[in-house]
This record gives sequence, C-alpha cells and structure tokens, in this order.
Amino acid sequence: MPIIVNLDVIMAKRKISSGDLSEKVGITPANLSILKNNKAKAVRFSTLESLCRVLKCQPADILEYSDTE
Amino acid sequence: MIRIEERLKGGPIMWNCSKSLTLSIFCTRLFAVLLAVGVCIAPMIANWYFGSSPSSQVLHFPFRITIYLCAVPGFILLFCLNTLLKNIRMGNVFVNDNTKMLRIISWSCIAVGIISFGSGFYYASFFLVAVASAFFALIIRVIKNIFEQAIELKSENDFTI
Repeated sequence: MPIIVNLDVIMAKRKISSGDLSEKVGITPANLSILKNNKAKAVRFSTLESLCRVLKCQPADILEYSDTE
Repeated sequence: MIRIEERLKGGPIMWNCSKSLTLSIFCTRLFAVLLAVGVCIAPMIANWYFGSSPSSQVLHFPFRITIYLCAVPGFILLFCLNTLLKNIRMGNVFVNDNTKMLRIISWSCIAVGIISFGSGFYYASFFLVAVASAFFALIIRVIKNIFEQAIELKSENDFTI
C-alpha cells in the first residue's frame, strides 16, 4: 500500500507506549497494532484527530505517501 | 391469543435464530440419513418406480447407476451444508471457509445436473432434474458471490480504525 503509517516513529519521538496511546486515544491495543503495522485499510477522521491531539502532531507526520511498494 | 408485541419480544413462541439453526442442522442430517437409506435401497426404489415388467427391467440398472452417481455429490453437498451451518452457529458467518463451502455446494449441484442430463437420454424425466439442479447451482453461485462481497466489506470495516 502506498500510504505508510509512521505512528511508531512519532511514538518513539514522544516517548509514549502503545498501551498509553491506545488508552488516551480511545482505541483498543489490537487496533493500534493494526494501525502501526500498516494493516489498516482506512482511518477515521475522529481517530486521526485523537492521534494528532495526543501526539501533538499533524496528520502528515503520521501518514506518508510513497510511490514505491 | 398471542399479541404481536410478545412475538417480537420473543414471548410465548420463543422462536429464535438459534432454534432456526438447530432445525436447519437437524434437517440437513435427516436428509443425509434419507440419502444413505435411498442408496441402500436403490434396487427397491427402481423396482417400485418402474415396476417389475420385463420391458422396464432394462431401466433398472442405469437408474441405480444414476442414483449411486448422484449420491456422491449429494453427500458432499450435505457435508458442506452441515459445515456451513456449524460455522454460522459459532458466529463465523462472513469467513472465507463459508464461501468455499458455497462454491463446493454449487459445483455439487452442477455435478448432479450433468449426471441427470446424461441419464435423461435413457429416461427423459431426468432432464427436468438436470434443469432444476443447474438452477439451484446458479442460485447458490449468486449467494456465493454476495458472500464474497460481504467478506470484503467486513474486512474493510474490521480494518478501519
């Protein structure tokens, strides 16, 4: 998929664990894992908004478009 | 008299999805038993259906062969139906295994249709069975296609975070 989720990079920069992030964002750890591992097929705006709010970043920091597979 | 509200709430009638599934599984197994009995008494069925006159004796053997040949896809079909119902009971409705079962059921119907079509050349009534089987196969195939789309949609929904 040409859309890459750089959530782990931002999480490392913010020094936040998966458990903490899932709790603060309000999604299950399993869903956060799907998102982190690039297995997600879609992201709701509400989830993206919560991620940006908790991680204090922009959507572009989390999502990246890449031409190569 | 039972009121409509009571019926909707599952009141005195108490008919629900679980009981409906149990009935379907029971019917599937009953059909399997009937098919097994039919295979065992195939000579008697042929005798009852065509009579024992010397002119009809010639049809007995091919009729039995048709029954035996149709029994194979019949058992496969009933096994798949049973597996499908068990999966549904376990809550696994939109899974690839069910699509596979529906595909096998559809091909089993086609197999019965082909055997019946071939048998139609010695006994014309089998042509009707062939047409009915082909029609069933078509219906099951359409349901299978719907299932495939539903699985795709479910997967998309499951992976939307």
